[in-house]
Amino acid sequence: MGQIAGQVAIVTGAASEVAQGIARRFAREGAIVVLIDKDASEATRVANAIALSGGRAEAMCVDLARDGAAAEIAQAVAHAHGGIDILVNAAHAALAWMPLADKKEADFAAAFHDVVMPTVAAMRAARPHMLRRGGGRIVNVGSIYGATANEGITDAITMDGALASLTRSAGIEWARDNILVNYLQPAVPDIAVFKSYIAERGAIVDHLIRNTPMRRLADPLEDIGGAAMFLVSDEACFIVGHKVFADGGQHLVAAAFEPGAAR
Amino acid sequence: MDRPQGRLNGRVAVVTGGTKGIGQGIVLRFIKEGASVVYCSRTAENDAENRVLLAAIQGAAARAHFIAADVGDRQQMRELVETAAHRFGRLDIVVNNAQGIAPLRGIEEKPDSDYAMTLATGFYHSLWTTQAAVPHMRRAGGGRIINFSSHWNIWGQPYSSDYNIVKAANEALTRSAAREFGADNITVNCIIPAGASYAYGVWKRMNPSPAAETERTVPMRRMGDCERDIAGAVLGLVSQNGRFITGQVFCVDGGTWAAAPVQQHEAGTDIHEGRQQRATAVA
Repeated sequence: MGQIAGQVAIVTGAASEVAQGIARRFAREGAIVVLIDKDASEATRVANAIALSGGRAEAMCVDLARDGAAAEIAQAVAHAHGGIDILVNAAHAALAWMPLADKKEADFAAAFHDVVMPTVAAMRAARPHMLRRGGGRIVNVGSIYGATANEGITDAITMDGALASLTRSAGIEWARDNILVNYLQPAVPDIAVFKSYIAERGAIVDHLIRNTPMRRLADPLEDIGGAAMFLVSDEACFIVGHKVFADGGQHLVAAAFEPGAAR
Repeated sequence: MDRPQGRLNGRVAVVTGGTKGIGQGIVLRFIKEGASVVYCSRTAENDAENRVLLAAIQGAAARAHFIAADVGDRQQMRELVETAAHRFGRLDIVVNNAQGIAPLRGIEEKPDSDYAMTLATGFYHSLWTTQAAVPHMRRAGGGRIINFSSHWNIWGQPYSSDYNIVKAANEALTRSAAREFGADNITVNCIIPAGASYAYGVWKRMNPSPAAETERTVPMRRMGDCERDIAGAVLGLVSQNGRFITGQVFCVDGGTWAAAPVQQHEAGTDIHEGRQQRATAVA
């Protein structure tokens, strides 16, 4: 028994802790989860952990930026599990903090190739399988950084805008088929990578928490996974093309990421 | 709509305007998911339909409590909230759904009394229930507040400037309350619905052709069902899934926000009581 019992969910970019929180949440609510990443070890580790705790999950090692990869995965998942109900596109490029004047134009092209195009490909590959099920849910995962803008990551902010616009326009095109596409923007999660950052730059993290209305970092399973569950469950059955922040209200606070602007 | 899953077991909710349309859908959905609900409407007669519907739900009688109240009255809104907290021992959720509606009139003709009534029954009632509820929510370790806005505010819908202004105020209240009460683990969000509300039902009966055209402009090709679609989103936001979502305005509208405006009205009509309907077809 669970909110999405028996449904088949694909989660891409599964090496990240945000994607893993979402995958674990879906498994806890009864879904069969397929974790996809080009780095097999992390996705496999999480799939095994889910299986050990009684859930159903498997990992597939695929680079979605490769031509035709998305269609192969969709076909394989549908063949193995009878269909596809849910797709979460959570693949992200690593952030390189650098002024726009110093970034290479190739950085933008690479970000588009590595993040936006695999999302387009995965959505299009999943669509026919969702149509056969009478509908489906797609969650494209962006970032809190896209709420406004941050200096030094123009390429990532540009991709965030592209994904949000893709979500909105695919949303209104596919809504009539009951395939609902929405956009999830999680806040900085309370994760191992960030904890090492905390150790080095505690003042910045204190500032971030103080400027988050709910006064804490995001928990990948309960906070970000919960918001993703909202979007793929019967609860969000009339929400289309929408942005949802899983951020404890951080998007409201312009000063959250800028210590210099603090009160 | 999935079978009830006890998503609100043990929770106590207040819903304003709970006997018709969207408010009724929220009351029924909350009750089915295990909550205790105190809800209001202007007169006891308005509760007749709910009494029948609730009698068909096992265990609902002990968990549903109706109060006749004027949402434009500060004291009555405080009493509504206090009644819920005392009767059921705690308070977790407030849904500010009610809204008085004045006849559609241009800005030059609309009397101040329209603005006063619309503000009292829309904005002030949301403020008063929030003020009364927050201390109880703090004691419960957190809470959820849902306010209501409208596409008409976004679109500057003609002839309903009073209503549009109130909805803008509700969105602003949502953001301010989210920041002020976030540290208390209280989330505050706002819904823009495209639901088959009571007012929409009246308008559709009087204007079937524009209504059909309206529904063709919704990407999901239908108006929202109050209990399944609109109350579903409210349920998600007030349940565990919504615990880190706050300060946001959600269009629960089948994608209408991203597509085209709906429900084109003319001056002189009264969508609330269905008089003088002269709405024109959507361009």
